[in-house]
Parts: sequence; C-alpha cells; structure tokens
Amino acid sequence: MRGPARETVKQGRRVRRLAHLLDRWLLPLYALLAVSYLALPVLVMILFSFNDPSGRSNISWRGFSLESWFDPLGQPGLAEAVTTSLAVALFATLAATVLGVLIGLALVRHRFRGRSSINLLIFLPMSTPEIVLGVSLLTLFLASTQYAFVPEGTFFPLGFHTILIAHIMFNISYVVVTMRARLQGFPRHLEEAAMDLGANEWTTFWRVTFPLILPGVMAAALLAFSLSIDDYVITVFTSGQATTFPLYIYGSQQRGIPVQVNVVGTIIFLVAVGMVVLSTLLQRWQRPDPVEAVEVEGART
Amino acid sequence: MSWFRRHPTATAYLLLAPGIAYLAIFYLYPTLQMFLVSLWTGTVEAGYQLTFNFGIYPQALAQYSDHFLRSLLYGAIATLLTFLIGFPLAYFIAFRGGRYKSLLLFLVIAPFFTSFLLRTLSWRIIFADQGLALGPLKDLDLLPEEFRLTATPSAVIAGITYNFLPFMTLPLYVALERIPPNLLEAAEDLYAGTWQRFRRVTLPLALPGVFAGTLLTFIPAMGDFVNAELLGSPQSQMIGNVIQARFLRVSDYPTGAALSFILMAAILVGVFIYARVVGTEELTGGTS
Amino acid sequence: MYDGPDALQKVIGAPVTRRRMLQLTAVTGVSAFLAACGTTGTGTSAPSGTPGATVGRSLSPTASATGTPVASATAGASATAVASARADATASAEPTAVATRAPVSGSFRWANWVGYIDRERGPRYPTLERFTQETGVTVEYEQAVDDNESFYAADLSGPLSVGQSTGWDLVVLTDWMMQRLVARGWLEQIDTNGLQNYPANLLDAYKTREWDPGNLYAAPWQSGMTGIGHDRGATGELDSLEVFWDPQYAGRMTYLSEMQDTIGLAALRLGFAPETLTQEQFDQALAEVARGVDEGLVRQLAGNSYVDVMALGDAIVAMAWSGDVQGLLVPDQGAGQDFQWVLPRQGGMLWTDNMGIPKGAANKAQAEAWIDFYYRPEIAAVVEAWVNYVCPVKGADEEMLALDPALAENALIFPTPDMLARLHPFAATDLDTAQRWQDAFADAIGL
Repeated sequence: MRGPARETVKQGRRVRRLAHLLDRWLLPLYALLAVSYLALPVLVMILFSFNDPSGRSNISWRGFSLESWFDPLGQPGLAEAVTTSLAVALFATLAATVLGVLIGLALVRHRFRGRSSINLLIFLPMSTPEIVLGVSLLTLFLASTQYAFVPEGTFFPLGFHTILIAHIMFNISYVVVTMRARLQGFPRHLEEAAMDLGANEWTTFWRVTFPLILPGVMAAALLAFSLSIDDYVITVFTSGQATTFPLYIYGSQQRGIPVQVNVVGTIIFLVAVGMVVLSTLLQRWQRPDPVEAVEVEGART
Repeated sequence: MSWFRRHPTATAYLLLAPGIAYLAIFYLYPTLQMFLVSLWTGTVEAGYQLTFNFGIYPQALAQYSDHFLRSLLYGAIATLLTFLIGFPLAYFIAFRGGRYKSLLLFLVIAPFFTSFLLRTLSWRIIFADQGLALGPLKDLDLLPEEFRLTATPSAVIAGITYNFLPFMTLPLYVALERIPPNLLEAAEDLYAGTWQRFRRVTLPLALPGVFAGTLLTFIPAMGDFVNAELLGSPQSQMIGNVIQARFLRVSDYPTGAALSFILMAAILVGVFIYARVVGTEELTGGTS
Repeated sequence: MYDGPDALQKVIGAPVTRRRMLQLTAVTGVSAFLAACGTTGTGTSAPSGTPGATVGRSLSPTASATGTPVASATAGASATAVASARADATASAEPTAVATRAPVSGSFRWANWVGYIDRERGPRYPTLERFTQETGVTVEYEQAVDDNESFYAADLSGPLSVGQSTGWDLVVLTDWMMQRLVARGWLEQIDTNGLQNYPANLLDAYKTREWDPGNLYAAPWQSGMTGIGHDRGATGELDSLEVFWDPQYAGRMTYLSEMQDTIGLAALRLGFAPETLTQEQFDQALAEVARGVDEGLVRQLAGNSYVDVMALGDAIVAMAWSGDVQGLLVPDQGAGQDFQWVLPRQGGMLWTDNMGIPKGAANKAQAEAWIDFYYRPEIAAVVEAWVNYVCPVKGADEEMLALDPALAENALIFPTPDMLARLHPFAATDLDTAQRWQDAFADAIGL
C-alpha cells in the first residue's frame, strides 16, 4: 500500500509544481504574447503614419517624416470621406440610440405579450453575418424601383441616405443589448416617488429616469458610433458613389495607400482611446454607482 | 394617474413601435426581398422578372460548395484558435490581472478603435514575403526563400482569428469574472486539485461565455470576405467573396441573393441547434 | 531618327502584309479588320484610308538583340522631367486654342484609372490645374476605376438601366466596354460643334472603329499594351509567356482581372490570334487560366492592385499594363528591386481606353471642354510623357520629341515596328458572346 500512495503524493506534488509553473510564468507570458498579437498591427499602423510620403503607396518603410501629420487630409477625396463617415456615424448613433433606448426601456420596465418575439427580433440582426445584412438591404433598394408605391429617387441613386439607413439598422440591436445590461436593477421606486410627489411623466423622465440611464445611454451611443465609423462590409453594398473612410481605405488599397490614411486612422484611434480614458477617469472621480448616487442625492434633499 | 401609468402595456408598445417598425422595414422585409430576388431571372440591362426560379438554389449550392465548405472550415478553425488564445488570456485577466486588470482589458479592446481594414492591411505589410517578419528571417537563412504567409489559407485564418479575438475574449472574461472566488476556495477546501477545480468549477461556469464567444466569432467569420480578399489567394476565397463579386462585380443578383440566403439560413439553423445543445436563455435576452 | 508626324501611322503605312493588317486593326479595332477580310482572317487587301508612307521607323537603340524592348529607368525619369519642364514652359505661354463655343464654367466629375494623368507630389495634377486656369472649369478627378467590369457593375449598370444618371460626367473605359455602353445607348453623344481639337486632332487610325462611326461617343484617351511586368532583380530576363505557367514562380505571380488581357495572353501562348479567337480557342485558353488558378500558380487576380502586390515583393511576375511599371513601380522601387515591362516573344495585347460621357451626365459641356483641351497636342504630350502610354492625339509626338528627343527611345510611348508586329487586339465579338465569355471567366477564377 505504501508504495503507490507515495507515488500518488509524489505525482500530486509534481502536478502542483507544474500548476505553479503554469500559473506563475506560462500564463502571464501567454497573456503578454496574446496582447502583443492584438497590438502589433495597431503599432504598425501608427508607425506607418510617420512614413516618408514620397512613395506611391504606403506599404514599405522609406524613412521618418512628420509631413503627413501636418497635412492629414491632403489627399483628394480624403476630407470628404472622413466627413461622410463622421456624419453617418453621428446621425446613425443619434437615431439608433433613440430607437434602441426606447426598446430597452420597454423591455426592462414593462411586461407585455410578444416579448420573446421582440427579443428574437433584436437578436437576429446581430446573429446575421454583415454581408447578408448588406445584401438584403441592397436587394430592397434594387427592388424598390419596381414598386409603384415607392417614390422614384427614394433609395436610388444610393448614397449618404442609404448608408445611414443601413447603419441605423445594424446599430439598434447593439444599443438595446447594451442598454438592457445597464438597466437591470433599475430603481423603479424613484420614478414612482417622483410622480407621487406630483411630477408629470415628462418631468419625471428628464429629472429622474434620464439621469439614471444616462451612463447606459452613453455607453450604447459610444458603441454605436465606433461600429458605424468602422463599418466596411454593410456600407460597400449600400453606398453607391458615396465614400466613407473605410471605403476610401479599401479603394486606396487597390490604387496605392497614401500615408494620410494611416494618420487619420491613428487620430481616430487616439480620440477613441482618449474618450475611454476620460470616461474611466470621470467614473472614478464621480460616485461609482449612479443608482446609489441618486439615492444619496435624494436622501440629502 | 396619467394615461401612461394606467396603461403600462400600451406604453410598452408605444415605446417599442418606432424601433421595431424600423427593424421590420429595414431588416425583416429586406430578408424576404433577398429571397424574392434570388428567384428573379434576367439581367441588369434588360431588367429582372420574378419567375420563381427555385432551380437556382441547387445550382448555386453545387457551383459554390467549395466556397461554403471553405467558409465553414476557416470559420471553425479560427473560432477554435480564438478560444485557445482567448481563454488563457481572459483567465489571466480575470484571476491574475490584479491592478493591471483595466489596462489589460483596455489592450484587448484597443484594436476595436482602429480601422478593421487598416489592421488587416498592416498584417499584409508585416507578413509580406520580404516584409518586417519574414524578410529578416529569410536574410538569415532561417526560412527558405520561397516561404510565404500571405496568399495562403493560413494567412486568411490568422487574419480572421486576429480580427475576432476580442469578440471571444471579452465574453469569456465576463463569464470568468462572475465566478465567485469563494466557490473556488470551497472547492479547494473539499480537496479538489487544481485541475479538478478548473474542470469542475471554472469551466462549467465559463460556459455562457464560451457560448457567446463562439457565436460572436463564428458568425462573422463565416460571412467574412475582407480577410480572404486582402490576405488570401484565389484558392482561399470564401463564400463572402463570391457573394460580393456576384453583386458588385458581375451584377448577377439572383445568384448572389441565393447564396446570401443559404448562408443566413445555415447560420440561423446552426445557431438554434447550438443554442438548444449548449445554450442559455441569455442568448436572446432571456426573460428578465 | 524620328522623322514622321505619327509613329503608329508610319508603321501602319509599311508594306501591307497580314501582320501590318493586324497592327492596323490593333489600333483601329477589330471591326475594320473583320470588315476587310471576313472572320477567317486570311484577307490581304489594304483597308482604305491607310496613308501610304513607305518604311517603318528605324529607331530602337535600347532594344536588345532579341528585339525585346527595354524601357529603361532613365528614359522614364527623363520623360517625367520633360513633362514637368514642359508644363512650366507652356504655362506662361499664350493659350493656343480659343474655343469658339460659349465658355462654360462650373465643374465636372471624372472617373479615371490610377496613374493615368500627370501627377505631382501633393498630390497635384498639373494638367488639370492648367485646364482650370484657362477655362475656369474645375475637375473633380477621382481614381475610381480599378477594372472595367467592377466599375460597370458598381457605378454604371444600376442607375443607367433605370434611366438615372450615374453622377459621373466623364468615364475612361476600354474599347470593349465602350462598345457595350454604345450598344445599350448609355453614352451621350459628344457635341463636337465648335470644338477646335476634337476630333480634328484624332489620329486617323482611330477613325474607323465600326462601333463608333464619327467618333461621337468614345474619345480615345490612351492606347497601351499588356505584357509581362517583372522584377528583374528576382527573375532575371524574361520574354516568354511560358513564365505565367512556370511552377518556379508559383504563388508569386498575378494575372489581370480583365478577361480580355488574361485570356488574350493565354491564347497567345497557345499560338492563337486573340483578334480572331474562336469559342473553341477561348475554351482552351480559359482552361489554361483555370489551371493557373487551381494549381496555385497565381497569387492574385487583380486590377490595378497588382502594382502594390509587386511593390511589396509578394509577386515578382505579373500580367501588367505597359505604362504602370514605368510610371508607378519604378519610381518607388526598393533596394534589389528592378522592375521592368517586356512585350512577350509570343506577343502581347493592345487596347485603347476612351473617354465617354454617361447618359444623363449633368455637366456634359464641361466634360466636352476637357476633351477638346486634351486634344491640344502640347497638352496631350505632357500627359503622355508622364503616363508612358501610346497617344491618340495628332502632333503630340512632335511636341514631346521637340523637347526631349530621347523620348523617342521610350518604347512604351513609341512602340518599335518589331513590337507593333507582335501586338494584338482582343476579338470584337457580339455582346452575347462577350457576356458569355465574361461569365465563364468569372467562374473560372472563382468569383
């Protein structure tokens, strides 16, 4: 009996040592490698924004230069493309956030028939590949010219408005899902208290509900904005001749990538990072939990 | 009492109406329209007619079965790879991240803030035959001169893996993060070994994350065409490339629509089977 | 030395053989050829209207012993230098042509291919700027065309098939695509009333295109050749189309996504004449292309993007357009890279890209003003010297050579008689056959 038992103990020790090794060294190393893998292309993109712009296409290193940083939009069409992207992202975010927040409120705060169907409808666009979303919208636009009840020129020629339609569509689901996650545990009693104290629906919404859901709305809007500004696949099917920044990148990949594309890419990256850092700092600086914050506020007054 | 408070259900429907109507017009209906377009015959120039040409389905499937299989294969391998890379990463962040947790999470999300196309193009620069990675190795004779990464299936799979790694890592992290530490302590108290603890406690509790992560990775991977286009060769074209070309290069709308419809149907059926087998209610938002 | 008004015409004017015939038809489009000798391709009679000059040019100092034209880097560099020098010199001179038609203002949108007009760092387009200076018309110039079919599908066929305008006022597309657009009635007629230079300065060789009598729809922009672009540093000298099926270069080659170019070269390798390609020959050529794809010989089928693939070093052999290598690749080449374009021993493809005004274009008069401007010899000369293609404008050659006689040695701009003898246009088929071949090609390359 003693032999095997000692074996087991020994084995156990070996396993534990191995586990320790894994935990202490291999896991951090692995994580570091994985994070580097994620970061590498971003670093290359940033590096190539400092490339000497004398060449035709920004694909090989020619030497350090700040030239493109001083003239980030100095390529024909680039300024228009960036403007279009920003405008699409802005309007799509606004519209999708309003529509999505309303759905989110309904789902979290109300009980009604057909709730599972609604849940399914929210889920479906997210589980449909982007290319199918783009194609199905394109078929709608194509077929619309055959339908008499669609006024001519509603969709065709494709352009800014059809990109916007598409972006609002794919963003709604993401807004709803983000909102729902943030709205769980919503303090209904605060609203009721407000109304019991004589506030009407409108006042209650803007003074109580909205401040409470604002962090969730902001998170959802940020997600929508970042999805919209980077979308290529759905946009390529719905854009016609309008060019967004991703379409511009794709086009220049075929005819020579100007260094400025990397500069704009880097600026977008830095702005996004800045916003995340800022919101993190704000959250730390403010009280950690808005719900709690409101309750504390309420107790004080 | 106001009308809204007296009629909570009606209020709910009012709140839902605009958004749901939007999705009905611009998501549900176009899906039906896509199906109808697949049954058209004709040409762009001469116009199309709805002829209920169902024959296009077997025809398109037969002609592009290779592309479908490739999408399935690349998507599956890429999903597996994102799991193999993402799980240890998420595990490390959740349990060993310490004060670097936020920073690490940020690094996982950071690529999202960079254009998807620019990142993919960066890989093309990094892995060019004489590029940053392979050039020096070849110069040192560590790799044969003809060795290449881009324009191979491996490059396409690597590109997809890279692009969707955060989609796998984040849900895994969320799931792992939720595991109460005392549960693991309890397991230890009950003499569960490291491996047992991992297999019996951590893994099952991470399952919702695995489920969400695989879906978030596999679905877009199946429909992807950008990686195959930028990093692949004519032999690593996926079904997305065909659909894109049918619509935007040869104006063969019916075939393109049929292929899209098959892709969508296959994915939805797959998702629901998967949901039944592994899934949780959380998938569709559950019943909150 | 160079002594004629028009290199192409002189070559064409040499004793007429079947070869000469082909050269002529190469430029004029197959229609004239077919009209002259039927589809059998055995006719020997000279088409009417061919100027009767006596001998071909005897200039090819840089051509090697095998007759392989060598477009050296220095020739290209000096061409560019001359172009900009010329732009400076003429900018201060009085405008020579004063349009008699009512002056136009405003702007027009022009879709062109990459590297297809003189460009300076910035980027600036000196010739377009000069046009704006002289006429007040601004040009919204976009490098929007990467290959004919994609542009047709993405930008033209949708709106035009439902009678809407495309948003473009001027597009540059290849003959066969222009022919399709003319047949569909999707192009505006160019109103030549009051135009000083077009079609007056159009080379006669272009005036017999059957699908565009009177040159009312398609104003030639450039003619060019399709052959072998390669990195000589990696491959050594090449001059045979066999290279595109050579396993030695497996995965390091690109074919073109233009059916006419890729099938044409495949046909030439098999010994078929692309201008008289039969269905059976097409099938054989297509099978060869499919084999290249299926066996992994081809890294990518590309439009203009083959340039980046080569610049990265990922491809060292490409089916390439003559001016691209000189204009886009050579100026950027890295250490150890030595890009060169050669016309294959078995022959290469000859094509013409044309300016056309899509139906319903909002700024037709502005586009016409530009066409007329480009057909001024001294303007075309500047563009030509930069893009390294063959110029359709009468008198442009002299303008170029007057400034830099060395340009005469640039075989990309002035193909030698030996080269012209090996150039072929692609068969001008009826639209249905063309469509069938396009579809078959798309299937074979996996799209």
